[in-house]
Amino acid sequence: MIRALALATILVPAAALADEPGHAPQDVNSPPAPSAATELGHPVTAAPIYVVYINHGTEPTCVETNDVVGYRECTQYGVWSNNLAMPPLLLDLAFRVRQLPLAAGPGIVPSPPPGTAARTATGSASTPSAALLTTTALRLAFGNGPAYLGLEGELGTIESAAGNDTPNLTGSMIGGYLVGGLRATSRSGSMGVEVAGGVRSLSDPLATVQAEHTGVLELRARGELWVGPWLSVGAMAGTSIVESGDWMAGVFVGVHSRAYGSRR
Amino acid sequence: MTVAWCVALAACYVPHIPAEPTGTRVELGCVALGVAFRGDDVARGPIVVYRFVNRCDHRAVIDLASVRVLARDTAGREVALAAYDPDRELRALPLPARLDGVEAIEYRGLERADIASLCVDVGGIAAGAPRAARWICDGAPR
Repeated sequence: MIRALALATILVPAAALADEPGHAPQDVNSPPAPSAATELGHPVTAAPIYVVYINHGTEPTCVETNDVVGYRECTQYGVWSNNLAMPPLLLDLAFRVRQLPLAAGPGIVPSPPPGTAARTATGSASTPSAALLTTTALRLAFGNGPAYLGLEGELGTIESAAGNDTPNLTGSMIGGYLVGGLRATSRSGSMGVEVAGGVRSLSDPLATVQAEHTGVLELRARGELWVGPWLSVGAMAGTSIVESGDWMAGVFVGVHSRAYGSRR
Repeated sequence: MTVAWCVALAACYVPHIPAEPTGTRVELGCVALGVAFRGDDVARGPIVVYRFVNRCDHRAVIDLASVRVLARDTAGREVALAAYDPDRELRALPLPARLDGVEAIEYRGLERADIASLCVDVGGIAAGAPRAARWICDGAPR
């Protein structure tokens, strides 16, 4: 589970709750008859319970001195149920391969690889038609039931290029998307489709290709398997709805705020 | 960069391992319950501590308001005690899958010094489990 950073420390002396020698609790299915031979319970005094909430500064905002319902001042009854007050959250990290079409750039025509004759495309400098990138994406999504919504950020580097020539193309990509999808779940995982929309920027320090800031609208398919109550792995593939030659494929690891995404 | 993101994500993943219930243990369907008795410097009546764990992959409803408490005084009379709940907090609440919780509740109706024995019926705590009386008793908590 995605756990919030530690905000409270609860100290309960174990001796306050341990069974005392010669003092045996009974488990019966009916109320007991009076027993004059019952040993009187050993007095156990609860040690103070300290719950310190640390805010932005260094001064505690609330110090609890009692853990009994009706005497507490900092915590309410049922804090163990608070996880269900928020929709299930998913944080996942994806590693992808992308192909992006490239536009002609104003920059230097790079030297052809050794052993090849220099060629130029008709009327213009030779430029790669597409770039292959490896990217890393981080997504935060939430949703209860089959639908979900999330935000995603992606960073990548150009690994190679395809075109009339094969220049040594370098560059990077950054993108931010809003993601929404539908999924069908089973005990072992889920499968679904989603749409990602946002903005992506591609830059090349040699200006071989035009720096692009483009809108993104991408259709994806996604499958996921549970490897633990709060951990999943999966794969996904997608293609741009508005531009041909723009596709991606990758794998991801997901961390969930509720066991099995609260979908079992 | 990729390694840094892996480390950052791994740091966020802290699997919660529910604590095993302490005290007298009872299994109520998906819920493992531990009951312990103690006193308190401030509370007048006996304190019952409930520790519960949801062992299932789906949520379980915990209803501590359903607990019946019977005490026998030193003269052998049986007295029903009531939970001290000035803010009316006690109610059935869902416990998420694979998580745990703890609550301590005072029961009033007899002074602790007058109690010879105390018993609690926890059979109704797990709302989804079949309802059957499950009495857990202890000596007189002071």
